[in-house]
Amino acid sequence: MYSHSVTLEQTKCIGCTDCIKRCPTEAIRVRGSKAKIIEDRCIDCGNCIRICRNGAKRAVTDDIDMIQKYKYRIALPAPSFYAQFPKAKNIEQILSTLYKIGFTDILEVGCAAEVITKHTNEYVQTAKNFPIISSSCPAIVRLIQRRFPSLIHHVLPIISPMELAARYIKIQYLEKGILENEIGVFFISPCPAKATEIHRPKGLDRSYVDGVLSMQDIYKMMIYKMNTNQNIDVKRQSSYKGLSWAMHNGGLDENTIKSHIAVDGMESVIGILEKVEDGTLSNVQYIEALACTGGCLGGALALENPFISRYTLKKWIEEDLAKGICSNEKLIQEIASLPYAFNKDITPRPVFSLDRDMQKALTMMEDIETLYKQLPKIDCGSCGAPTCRCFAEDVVKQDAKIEECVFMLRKRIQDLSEVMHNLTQTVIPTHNDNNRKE
Amino acid sequence: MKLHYQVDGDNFLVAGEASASLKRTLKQLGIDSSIIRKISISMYEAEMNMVIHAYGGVIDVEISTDKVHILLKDKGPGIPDIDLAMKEGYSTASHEIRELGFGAGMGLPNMKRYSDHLNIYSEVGVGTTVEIIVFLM
Ligand SMILES: Nc1ncnc2c1ncn2[C@@H]1O[C@H](COP(=O)(O)OP(=O)(O)O)[C@@H](O)[C@H]1O
Ligand code: SF4
Ligand code: SF4
Ligand SMILES: [Mg+2]
Repeated sequence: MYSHSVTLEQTKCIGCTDCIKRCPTEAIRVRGSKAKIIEDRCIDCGNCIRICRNGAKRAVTDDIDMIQKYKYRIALPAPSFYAQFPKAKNIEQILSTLYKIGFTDILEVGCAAEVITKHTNEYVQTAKNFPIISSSCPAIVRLIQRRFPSLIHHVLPIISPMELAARYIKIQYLEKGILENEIGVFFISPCPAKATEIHRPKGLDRSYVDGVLSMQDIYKMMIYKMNTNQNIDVKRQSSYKGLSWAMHNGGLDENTIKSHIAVDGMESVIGILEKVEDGTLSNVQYIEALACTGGCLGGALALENPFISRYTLKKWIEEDLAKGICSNEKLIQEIASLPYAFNKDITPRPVFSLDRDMQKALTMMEDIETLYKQLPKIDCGSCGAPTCRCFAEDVVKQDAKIEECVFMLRKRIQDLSEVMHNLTQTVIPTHNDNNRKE
Repeated sequence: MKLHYQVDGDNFLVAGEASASLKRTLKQLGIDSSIIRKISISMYEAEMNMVIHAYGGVIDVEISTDKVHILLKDKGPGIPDIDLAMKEGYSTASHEIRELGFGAGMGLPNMKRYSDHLNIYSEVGVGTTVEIIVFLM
């Protein structure tokens, strides 16, 4: 079963332990000098891909050849994708190149983003459980399921712009009488989390997206075809409002939802979620939380520096504003008429729980505390676990042996050599060492 | 099982570590997340009070299969009128501390609301002991 998009390339991994400490769910261990991802725990945030200097961690996305299976090949580019082309003349040029590499139609995700922002505004006005936490970043939803299950009821129960865009365009084609297996809808993704999302959607039975393509793969195909003169005429569908979705405040309409926090970067998000759990942020209405620093512009599959990307998008937003061309009201209205709410609950995945039986869990916890006290607490990583604490847990869960800690091993050898030394002191009855000296 | 925490009183900008550590332990014990939330909120507020109003202290937690028992002891100035301190919005926090976002006077009321038992013993000039119990079933 497809469950993850972040995987390890065995041959490239040198077992350096760089990645284990940066994983927000302690999902990586090094065993036999190779990193291993504990599948249940991984939230596909991509941190380990960014940190690995050997390129051993990879995001598995769909193969671009997959689009050829379909007669109608629809690309869903998000604003974060446009930002990868800072030298493009305008967004039209980027869109037109998408046709050149084989797509037959395009729907800009930005227009669905505009609609989601409206739905979010309305939801926040009537909600009871504050703060509401955005759900558009799948890595964050997964993080909440695993590390912050008490906050599941705070998650905005509204589908992502990607999903709404796919839903709209697919229904359009179906209504024209086209067979479903002829329609392929492809999201061009900044991250592995979105790739996992279509195979295992959250809050939904199934996704309308047929494939997720890596931004990097598409970029490589497009870059040579950007400047050919036969530009195909394209009409913009998204206004500047949709573009600003990618500018780190995401689905937030700052004018309507005054009391809000926009947080990006995994560590900062975790800090904020801890505070929500402690009840200190209940006066905040809405929290836009994105796993990557710089939001989707900083996705693990993005090529451009996120700060340059923000600059590029800002430039295009200003151009759009100046031109004032995009009159997309009709399209926006049509998209807004579609269902947008989750149709399934998000379930907790308490992967840190030691045992279902609390008595057993308590005993294990006591063993962990006892063992932890003996460890050096320097989190050196030589044992293959991210922290001494985590190692103690692994030992008690019988996933690791105590001698895998070099300090415990040394102590063990010391103890053994002491035993051996003591043995050498044993008096042998037929032999007297003192006599020999004479 | 028993847990013991030492809470420093001098730096409340990094305070909250004991609550964070207990929260992590409770999650590993597989306790229902809505109950963890009750415990976290109560413990966090009590820990912060110890730091802000009473130069730190010690926390002893005992976890059993039916309840979590938390005892916070400080040698701070004590609370002269506990009923008054329990009132929503009542706070003696200084202007500086309020500027930092603390001192809304909701700590004790929230501890009362989220715990199943809250007992406060306090003597002016001697210190304060706060006992929090949250049942797990
Ligand atoms: N451990 C303590 N030692 C001394 N005074 C305390 C202690 N805990 C609470 N108080 C007093 O009770 C008041 C109300 O506490 P609380 O409801 O937590 O509000 P806040 O901490 O925002 O002031 C505090 O302002 C303080 O005067
Ligand atoms: S993708 Fe994120 S959660 Fe998954 S193993 Fe890598 S760092 Fe951990
Ligand atoms: S912030 Fe955006 S790019 Fe990063 S993981 Fe979340 S959805 Fe993907
Ligand atoms: Mg307080």
